[in-house]
Amino acid sequence: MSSTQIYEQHYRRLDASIPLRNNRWIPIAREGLKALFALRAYLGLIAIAWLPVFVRLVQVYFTTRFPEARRIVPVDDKLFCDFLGQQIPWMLLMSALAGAGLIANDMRTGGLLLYLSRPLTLSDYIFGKVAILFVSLSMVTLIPGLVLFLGARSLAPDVLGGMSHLLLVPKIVAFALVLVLPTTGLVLAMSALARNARFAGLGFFFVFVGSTVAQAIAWRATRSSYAGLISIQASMRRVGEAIFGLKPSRMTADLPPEWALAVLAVLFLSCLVILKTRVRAVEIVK
Amino acid sequence: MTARVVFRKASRWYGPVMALNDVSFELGPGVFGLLGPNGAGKSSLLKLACGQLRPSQGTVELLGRPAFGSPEVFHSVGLCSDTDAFFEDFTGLQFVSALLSLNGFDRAEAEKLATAAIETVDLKDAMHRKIGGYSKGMRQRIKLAQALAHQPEVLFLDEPLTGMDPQNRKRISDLMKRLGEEGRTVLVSTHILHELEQVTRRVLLIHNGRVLAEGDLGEIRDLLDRHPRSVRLKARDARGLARELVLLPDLVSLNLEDATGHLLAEIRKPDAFFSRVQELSATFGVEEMWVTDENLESVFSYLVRK
Repeated sequence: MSSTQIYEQHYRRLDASIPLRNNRWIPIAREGLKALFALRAYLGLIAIAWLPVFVRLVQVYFTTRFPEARRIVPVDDKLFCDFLGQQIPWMLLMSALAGAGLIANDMRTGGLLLYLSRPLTLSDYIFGKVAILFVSLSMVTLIPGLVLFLGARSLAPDVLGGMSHLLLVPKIVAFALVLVLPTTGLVLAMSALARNARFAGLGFFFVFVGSTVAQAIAWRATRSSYAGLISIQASMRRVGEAIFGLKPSRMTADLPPEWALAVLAVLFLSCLVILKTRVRAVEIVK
Repeated sequence: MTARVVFRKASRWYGPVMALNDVSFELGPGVFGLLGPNGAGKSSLLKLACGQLRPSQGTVELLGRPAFGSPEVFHSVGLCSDTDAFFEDFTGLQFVSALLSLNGFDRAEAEKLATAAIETVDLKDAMHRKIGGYSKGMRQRIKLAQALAHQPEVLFLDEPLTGMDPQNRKRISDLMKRLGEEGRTVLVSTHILHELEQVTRRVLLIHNGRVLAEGDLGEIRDLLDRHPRSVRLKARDARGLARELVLLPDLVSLNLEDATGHLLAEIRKPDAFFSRVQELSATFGVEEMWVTDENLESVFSYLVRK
């Protein structure tokens, strides 16, 4: 289809061979987070999820006034491990609110094309979405955990003020990562599989809570600690207990934490594979 | 001038369904129409052209690179897809700026380019309003703005005039024409022949996944004029508009739908009809116009037989 015609170039010609820049996922994450922070429900959930921090700080303050109370509510590694474990319900709610629609909505409406018609790779897109959820979940786990540590350290310097207690920081970070990464992977995989935010959220709850119910049934039937491997939550808690050097709970007493960690790692990697394969399959026949 | 979009014996199928079959063509600068009825393979062709799909056979090149797996070409390519996907809570300006930031522009430059693109599609007055409140025509225009904003060398526009009122149709048609005159490659996909006539004479005619014809629009147009086409209109004063339209000699039928309040017209000479609607649009408040043209199918059947 050629014709002899003289064209006037009035536009800035951008070379198509410009290499892709680094950190291409950052604008995706930034815009996604900006959109979430505009939601009242999102901000409200963060606010509610931070209430336990203040409750724990009051608890720490109480023990500074009445040291004998430390026998009942000790200010030690267990305090932080328990705190992070108790944040799991908030993390689930945040996953459903912030994560269920992240990919499903783009795939349902064709919004993926808006991203992929830019100088981005599919991995950039996925990484950007992972970053949105990672930040959102960290807002209810990692960051409150660190704030709790800093608050408790300043309230009870006699108990947590030593240099050795700084080791609690990497422990909190590690347990928070154990909570956040598999959850991020799972909810995004569900979002890619369901192509509908509501179904993705329900599917996520079904897998997460269902695995815990299945563990309870399996444990009652077998009395084996290895039943904990069925449950995402039990595996997370077992790894957390190991990180903080705590005695494992009754249902996972003999479960090696390495096994629990391996299960979570396999879950996370499987979710990444699902994302890679499902998100690529955006093909609409018209 | 080297070809910017090159298809060489490209085919694409989804399982047993053949979406595109052995398609070859080259596009240089200028505006080209991709014309075909619904289901002809236009969207598949566009998705192949802009690298969203890998060809099952053959090759597709965009700006000298394989279209699939070369995201860097999108520094110079714009896509206005037929999807209705937006960040609904963003304003028009935020939407276009956000997408520009994916191209690597910093915030200030992204806003500058976004504002210029929004002005180009005549949406400046609404650029600080949330997209969720935009009409269909406004959404089309903001979609076009995001495709244009980074000043691409190649533009793929999928049904860009759908849902626009006559004035904006004219404005956007003129814009497409101007983009072609500037030396960009613009591939406009549509199933409405009349839309293309206003911007180009060069078309690719596609049907059942095959390119049936490639060349001048005039000949195809003559074929189509033998078949009446259906046009749906939404107007503030639909009855008043109907009173004027029934006077047109080439009107085959005109119905006012009770349920929607829309006018449904069957016409033989689209040029005269569209010109008259444009004249009357201000008086009767014509808000939207769609050509619900199923009769193209018969022209394609005719071409296939030929």
